[in-house]
Amino acid sequence: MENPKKNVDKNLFQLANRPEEQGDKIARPSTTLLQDAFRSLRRNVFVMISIILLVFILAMSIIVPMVSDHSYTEQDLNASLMKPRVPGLEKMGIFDGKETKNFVGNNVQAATQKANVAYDNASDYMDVEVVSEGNGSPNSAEVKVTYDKYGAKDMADDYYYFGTDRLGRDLWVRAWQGTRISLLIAFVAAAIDLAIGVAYGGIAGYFGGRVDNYLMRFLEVIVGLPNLVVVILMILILDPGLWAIIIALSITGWTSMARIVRGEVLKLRGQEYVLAARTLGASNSKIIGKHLIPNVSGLIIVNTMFTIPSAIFFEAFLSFIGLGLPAPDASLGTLINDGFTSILITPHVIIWPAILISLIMISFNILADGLRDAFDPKMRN
Amino acid sequence: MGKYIAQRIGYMLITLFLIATISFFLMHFLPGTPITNENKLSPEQREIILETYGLNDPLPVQYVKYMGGLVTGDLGVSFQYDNRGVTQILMDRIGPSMQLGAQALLIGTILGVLLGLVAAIYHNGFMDYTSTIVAVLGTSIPSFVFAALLQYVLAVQLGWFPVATWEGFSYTILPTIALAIFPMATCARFVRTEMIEVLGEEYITTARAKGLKGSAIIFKHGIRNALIPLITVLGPLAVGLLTGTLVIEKVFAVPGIGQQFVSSVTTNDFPIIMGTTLLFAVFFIVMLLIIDILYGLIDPRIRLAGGK
Amino acid sequence: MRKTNWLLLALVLVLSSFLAACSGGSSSSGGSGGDSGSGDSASGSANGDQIFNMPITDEIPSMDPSKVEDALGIQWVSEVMEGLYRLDENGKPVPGMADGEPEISEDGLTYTFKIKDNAEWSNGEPVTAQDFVYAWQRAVDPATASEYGPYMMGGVVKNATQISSGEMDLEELGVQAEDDKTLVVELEKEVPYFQSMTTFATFFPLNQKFVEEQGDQFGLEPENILSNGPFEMTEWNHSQSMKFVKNETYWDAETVQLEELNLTVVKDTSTGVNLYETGELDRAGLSADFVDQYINDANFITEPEPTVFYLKMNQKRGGEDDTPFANENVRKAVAQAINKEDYVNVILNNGSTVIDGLMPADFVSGPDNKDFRETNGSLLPYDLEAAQAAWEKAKEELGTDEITIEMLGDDGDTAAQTSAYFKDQLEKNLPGLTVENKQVPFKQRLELDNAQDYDLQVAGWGPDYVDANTFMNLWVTDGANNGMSYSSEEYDALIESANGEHAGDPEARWNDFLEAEKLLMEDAAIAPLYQRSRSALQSPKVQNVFKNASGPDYEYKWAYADNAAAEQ
Repeated sequence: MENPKKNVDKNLFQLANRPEEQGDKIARPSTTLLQDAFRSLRRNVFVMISIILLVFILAMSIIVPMVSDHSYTEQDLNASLMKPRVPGLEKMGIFDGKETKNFVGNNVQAATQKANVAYDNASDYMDVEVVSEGNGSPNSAEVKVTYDKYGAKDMADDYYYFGTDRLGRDLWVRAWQGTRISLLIAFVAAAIDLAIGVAYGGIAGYFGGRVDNYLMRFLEVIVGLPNLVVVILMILILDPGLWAIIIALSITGWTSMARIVRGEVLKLRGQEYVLAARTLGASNSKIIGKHLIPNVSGLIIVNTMFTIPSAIFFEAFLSFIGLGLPAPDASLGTLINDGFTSILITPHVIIWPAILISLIMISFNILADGLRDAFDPKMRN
Repeated sequence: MGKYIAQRIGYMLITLFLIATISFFLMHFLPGTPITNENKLSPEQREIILETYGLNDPLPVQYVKYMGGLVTGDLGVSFQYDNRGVTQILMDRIGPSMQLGAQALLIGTILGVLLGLVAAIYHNGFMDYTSTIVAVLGTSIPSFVFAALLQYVLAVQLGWFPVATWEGFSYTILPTIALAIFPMATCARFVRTEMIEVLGEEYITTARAKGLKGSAIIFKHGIRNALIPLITVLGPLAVGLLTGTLVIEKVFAVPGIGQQFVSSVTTNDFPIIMGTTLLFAVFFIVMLLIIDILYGLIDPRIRLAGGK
Repeated sequence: MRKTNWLLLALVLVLSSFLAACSGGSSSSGGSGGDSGSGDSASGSANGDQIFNMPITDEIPSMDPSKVEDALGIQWVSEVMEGLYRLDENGKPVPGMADGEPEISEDGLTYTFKIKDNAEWSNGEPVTAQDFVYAWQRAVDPATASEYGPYMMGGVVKNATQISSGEMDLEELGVQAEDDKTLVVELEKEVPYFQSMTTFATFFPLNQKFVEEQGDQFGLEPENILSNGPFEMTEWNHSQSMKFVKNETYWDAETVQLEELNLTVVKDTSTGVNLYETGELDRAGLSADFVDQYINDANFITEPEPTVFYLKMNQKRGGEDDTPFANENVRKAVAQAINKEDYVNVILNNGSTVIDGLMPADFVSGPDNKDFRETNGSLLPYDLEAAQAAWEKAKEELGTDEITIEMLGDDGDTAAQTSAYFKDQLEKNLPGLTVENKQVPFKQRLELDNAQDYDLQVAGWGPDYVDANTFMNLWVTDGANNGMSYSSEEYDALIESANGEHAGDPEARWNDFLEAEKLLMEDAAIAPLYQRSRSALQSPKVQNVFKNASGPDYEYKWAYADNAAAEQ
């Protein structure tokens, strides 16, 4: 039998000259989990937009209250409920601070007269447009009146970007100040929840059995106490205000994080790689820290991102029942609450804090999704 | 499993006992009396009224009396509504809140799961972004803003639904919708997360390799596993719906327990606050138990690990 | 506003998906309580269905006249029941259960009332003098734990105070049934306004047999209530709705035109307005923002009330330690430093008016027929210069430049704006002053008030009977409502003389009260703020509902529905 290989010229081959120790070398540069995650984050346009937005909102909430002409508590009843007015944009017919309202009457004159009464006879600053002439029967005539309140109030040089509230406070400053306070409440509360919840849930889930049982029974006692009762107590013990709210939120808030982490750890600890790690002699803390927590990080992040809006909403809820931040402090919750009763009448009071709160939420959510995808190799496409 | 459940119910009773004790003493740290017109009474008259409510007894005596009543389902007498039993008041109020909560949870979960699944299946596609936006808006916009807009647009302007009050099924639709937004959004987000994760698991790959159809994979393997974390969210959501309907109840003038609770808080009606606290606690703990049992049923690994 | 539209669009998308899921839900027509086509009958008289659909802000806490203690309870107990007298359109007592005017003894201490022969309970039993004796005894009985019983009767009906503190037997109360239809009342002292007091719920009669049969269920459900007033309660869905219908057995049933009164519990202002807009309610209360919106509406109404609001300045914290308000100049400075005109016009915006004294306008007038407020005029107005002068003096006297005080506010509709505004005004106008706001629920504020655990608080008072005394005796030394350690011998003496030696001399009594108010304002004991009004939308069909100065807020006995007016 002849070997066909023999026909190949040996000189065609050359030793690769690869030293033994390079055998395991990985072609790509090694990256840590964080670097890896960050790289994948950077590729995600939405995440980047969210981060930029959040940084922008954060910066504005710090800078605006510091540099603005008006302080967030400064009142001017003469400038009560002014509509938003922005230089530049006003020339385009939006944000020009003018209010438009329809008036009805038996005839055009009567309807116009009603407008005169409503706007203190400032007819120089009223622009009347007849919608329907009417025929003398009740309320058949309708006029559309555009009223230049800034002009009428002799404030032609003033610009309230978000308008003012009933007390004549500048909503631009209040909105950013409120954002600052709300973010503070949310961050602090979320951080406390995260720390306590992950540790507690991790321990309960990992050790299981009796430890789990005791920890979970204790947790049930805590969650069984409605937040509101705890908050009322806090507000009586401490003075009503920021810290009372943060502490009250934290006392009961960490439980949902603890339960989620516990449930997930319980599921994961039965899996093979944990068994493998244990067999290899890894310590408990190492298994929890290196294997379990990273694997539940997606859930932890998502849950933290839920803590932030819920902290902000809980603050709003407290305002709703009269236990929120005391006046004249501002938070997004109190601002939304102030505007809520008149949501259909003076929407400009509620719309900006509502948009801000939504933007913050949306950004956090997208960021959370992006982070989770980045941490979790399975989510990569 | 039977023994496990019996044991859990035993723990439950202990938990409830602890909660009742803690909240009883917490309540008695707070100032609060049955007296409405504090500033119209002389100190002697105040004493007499406190006496008739048994509030002058030493705290331990009051505690024993209260716990004694609790065993027989007697939660005491309201401060705010003279002579009215707290148990009866709570029974009356829980109905509307339960109905709204159940309807909202049902609709919210179904739509949320659908939305989440669609988003996960078309991961990074148009449907994903759409459903994410819907979900994000749902969690981002406070429910009372929805409630006010729903009421104004659908009831006042269009007249499709009754504006408010509580007189029949049609009256429950708007509050249910307003209430369902949050659970829907929450479910959608969780299901999406989980489903994406599950679809990346090896057994899905295996199933695909076996040649199973896409729909079979999603229904037989995907959903079942994606539902587990959802259950952990549903419990708190259910309790939250029950307790958090306050704003919705106010906007739609629903005679529910949320409104009752807040009105009791503002009038320092401690017997009702206590009663509501306990009721919520019972509800919550039962939910936790159900979740744990369901957990075991759905995911066999948990039973092996934790159940015994 | 592009972002708004985008949000709305998204919202509509979400909604439509829900609607698809919820199809099959019934829709209801908006209108209710409509009339049956009597469009062309003359307005100004009852026509069409005699039904009112009214909002009520909360559940009625109690329908037991001895225990009722809040505005809602007093309102509706007063419709289903009736005392010896009832307040008419002009706030004057007119005979109810009593037949004509009482016979008053020379010294003004004994009143003899005749009970109407045709006065009966809704179960057919006659209303007797014994019913009054039983009810009044029950009201002051310590076992009843009534709040208004001892408050209204104490110091008025003979021995009421001693009985309510358990020192005397019930039988000692100065009220006797001479026979079935003759009631004799003995008073502690001469009380010129006693007849007006008998219109109040605590003085209503009770059928002993019925009340004892019901036990602790009395007043809890419609079937546990016996009616002797113009209306009967037939439905009570707690925290939800109530229904009152005309009581056919009422002695004056022919005067009562209204057939049905439906109440719906609505706590939210905009919900109320929406229900009004869709015709489901005939009335909706308005808050400041809604007033702006509806001020031109033909059905917009403003109702002034004799309720005044003021700042209470606590002189001794916890009744012991002096606060800055122990200094008269601090009080004067604070009392004159708030621009009340701006406050009522911009923040309250509901028709409320500035008040510069304690007594509300249009509440009581003197022997000269001149209104109290008009006679005493403006005593403590907003005066920035005077305030700042007093402030400088005060700082000198106290030897400090920085003063910090705590201001209590409650959680009402405009409470947050009110606290913010007062804080701003005080800090701006009185340099060196720091105001710390503390917001607590209403009930808690009352308790802090009672414990004198505050420096400054916004408080209000509405009359319990139509007499100057209901306001003027608030600030006597150690009075139950004082709660701020204000004490002036001169003031105490004036009030005592008005209720003692001058009780039978209207002119001297009137002058005592005028002097007392002047003194109070000179001392700047309180800082008067405003007299409250309510703004509302009310259907033109609602006619002849009278606003009362004391007792129930509204009187429906003479009311009727003019559906033709509503059609126009």
